[in-house]
Amino acid sequence: MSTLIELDDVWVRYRMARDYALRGISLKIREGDVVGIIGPTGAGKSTLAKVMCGIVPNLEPCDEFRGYVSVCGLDTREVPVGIICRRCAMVFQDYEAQLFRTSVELEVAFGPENLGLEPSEIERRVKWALELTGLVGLERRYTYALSGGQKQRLAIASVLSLQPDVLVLDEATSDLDPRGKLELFQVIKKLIEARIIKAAVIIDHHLDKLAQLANRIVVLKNGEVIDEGTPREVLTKVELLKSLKLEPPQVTELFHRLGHTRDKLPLTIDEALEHTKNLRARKPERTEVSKVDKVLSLRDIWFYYVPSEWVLKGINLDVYRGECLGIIGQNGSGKTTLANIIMGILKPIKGRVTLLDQDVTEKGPTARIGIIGYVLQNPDYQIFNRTVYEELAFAPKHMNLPPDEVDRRVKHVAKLVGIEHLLDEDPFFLSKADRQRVAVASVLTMYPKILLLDEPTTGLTPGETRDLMDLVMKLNRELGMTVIVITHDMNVVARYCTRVVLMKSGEIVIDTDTRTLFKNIELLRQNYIEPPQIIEYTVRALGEPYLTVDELIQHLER
Amino acid sequence: MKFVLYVDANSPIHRLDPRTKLYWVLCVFIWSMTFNHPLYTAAILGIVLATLLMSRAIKGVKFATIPLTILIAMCIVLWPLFRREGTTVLLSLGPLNIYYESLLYAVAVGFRLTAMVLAGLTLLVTTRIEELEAALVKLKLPYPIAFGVSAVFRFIPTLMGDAHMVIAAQRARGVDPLRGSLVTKIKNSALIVAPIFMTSMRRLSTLPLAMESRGYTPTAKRTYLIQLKMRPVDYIYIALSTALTATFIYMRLNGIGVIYPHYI
Ligand SMILES: Nc1ncnc2c1ncn2[C@@H]1O[C@H](COP(=O)(O)OP(=O)(O)OP(=O)(O)O)[C@@H](O)[C@H]1O
Ligand SMILES: [Mg+2]
Repeated sequence: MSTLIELDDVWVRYRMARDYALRGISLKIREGDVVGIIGPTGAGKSTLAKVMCGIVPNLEPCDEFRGYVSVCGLDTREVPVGIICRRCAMVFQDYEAQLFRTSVELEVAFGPENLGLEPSEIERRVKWALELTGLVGLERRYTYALSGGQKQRLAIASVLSLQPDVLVLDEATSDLDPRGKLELFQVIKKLIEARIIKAAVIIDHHLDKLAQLANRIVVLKNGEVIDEGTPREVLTKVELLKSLKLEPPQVTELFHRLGHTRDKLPLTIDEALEHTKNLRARKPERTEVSKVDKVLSLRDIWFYYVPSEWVLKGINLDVYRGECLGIIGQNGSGKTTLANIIMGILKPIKGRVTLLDQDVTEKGPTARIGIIGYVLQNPDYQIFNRTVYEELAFAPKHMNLPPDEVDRRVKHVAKLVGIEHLLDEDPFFLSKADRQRVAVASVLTMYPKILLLDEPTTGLTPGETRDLMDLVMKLNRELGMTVIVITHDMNVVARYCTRVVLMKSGEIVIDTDTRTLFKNIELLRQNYIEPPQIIEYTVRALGEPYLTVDELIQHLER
Repeated sequence: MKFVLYVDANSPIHRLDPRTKLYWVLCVFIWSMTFNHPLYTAAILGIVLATLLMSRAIKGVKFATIPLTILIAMCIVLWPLFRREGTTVLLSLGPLNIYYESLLYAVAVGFRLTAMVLAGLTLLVTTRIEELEAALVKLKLPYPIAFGVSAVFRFIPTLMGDAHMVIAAQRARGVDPLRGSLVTKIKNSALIVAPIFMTSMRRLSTLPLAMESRGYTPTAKRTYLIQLKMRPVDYIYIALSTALTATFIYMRLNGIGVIYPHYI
């Protein structure tokens, strides 16, 4: 098989950086390859992707770039990115930054237009790419009027339409609904089989999904390749992955903890089922969800952005004190819209919002101060002070609390969230995970009774996700704070939520406790939800969902 | 929550080629500069309003009612103070004479400016930005300029959406940047501007990178998805506009439709 991309001893040091981002990487991408790149934050994964597309060193300033990179025979130092990307094109994680055209259709057409294709061929490719990414019907929509996941799909479609030889995805599926992510991976597989795309490089944290797609996994740490091999060779190194704060496929972890040797560890559910012999476990205890103290209630909420195109169609929802409610559902099903209505940022066309027995339907966010803390999906909207300290002090100061109480709250919350050492920093220059924590902390200083989080864990590594959610649950337990979390990460749902609401095209189709939800996998699939591996495995092997590997192991009968 | 001017409808004006509409706007500009008699500029405003009615998109320009009324009022108050020529004195304020002619002229200018603004708006409410961009490309403007025009219109809604979210986030934390006295408002405006500036800068700084990673090279020849096509009715509109332009200029040269012959 011919080599498409070749890296030979590549070293990269960004402008003003003290340390190297890549240290002597050598790598080959051949025809037919699907290479998964994994590693902790700051390992250099994105830099590696950018090097493959010539963005480093051509468009991002480096103090040092050593080594040789060739893309289909082109030396990336000598060819502009505009040409390289016809061979090797990349989708970035930050979808907002990649969309710059007015309408969906034109966004996808931009690439083919640059290739100088005939208008009829451009049209064909636009249609093709929109079909592959599930955006049919939105052709003429303006891009700002899309949901987060739809924007990310669009970013992918507009690179697919270039039909590059090598497709690079840098955590580009973080906002897709779980089904959408799986489907996209299947699409990539088919495109490679059909030779429309010759190879793919995928940076992703969902190792169980990667295992099914990739034929090679590269592990990066501190700018170096520390391991490389087939998914079976790499992903069965459970201890190594855990030390990097990555999550190995759950069945792999399970069998590892059950004492199986590495050569016998399964990667997929089917393999795990084959290996399963006399697995018996006690039934997990039902956790009763208390339904006594109603804190928030939505009655028959209807909403549209464009008259008569209903986005929410008669939502009824009650939230009880102390619970952790998950809101899940397909991209564009109306979750963020619902959150904005709860917050009073949008007013329902019809329906009533009651908060702590008060009708707040007609009132804006000001009426929710100190009661609901809302963490937006994009933390940058809510960060506007010069230091982290001021950021945390902002809300209590404006609640007219005495200065020493403000100071006490800031210190208390900073300690809870673990950002004491950052109090004097400028929040804009922190990493995404830290900015996310500052955003959470900045609403916590109001000591809200309800915490509303919109996709708080996208863009975080599994380790960071766990840290953040563990923190939220600590507040839930210690302060009795009610938590509402919108998420596409079913591991978060399984691990933390007591009750789940599933939305579909503006309606609530399921509202039940977490365990019952995961019992009916077929129903979930129909609603674009993929359960975590361990749940599907336990349902098939034991007829009962166990929500986490830990839970299963605790209940095993030996 | 809507910051796009375009109003979706299927009117004869919507169906015109954007180049025709651009030409028409240019003609309206010339027409309204040709006359300075209020009856004549009113007639031109009438033509523009009729076109706007025909486009069934009048709701898209409603927001301009108050600003335009203010514009006309300002003209009527201010122009007579500057154009102090004429024969009929209407009002004498000490050394200051207000003439009947200058008042007429002021009304004419008010109508003229309104016609020009509304003509531009008619174009914008009936034409999708991408069509306008395609027209500019067809008119042989360099692509970066055409792209820039559409990018501006593209980022306005994004910017407004950002501002909306930022304000909401701040209200949720106890500060309403849009409330209070002027001083507090000015003080608070930094709260909105700072995060929006930062997010916009992040976006703008990645724009060249985003464009290039999708195959854009400044020198290469591009093709375009949107293909514009002039239809017979476009030529009729163009011929009609041209004929009117010629007629109006002829009238002006013969001293028709003017209050002050030596002023525009
Ligand atoms: N400003 C807007 N104008 C018009 N339509 C909009 C606007 N914002 C969102 N929509 C549409 O409303 C629907 C619901 O959007 P919403 O953002 O609530 O979805 P979501 O469930 O949060 O999706 P995701 O999982 O992708 O974040 C989508 O079909 C979206 O295209
Ligand atoms: Mg959303």
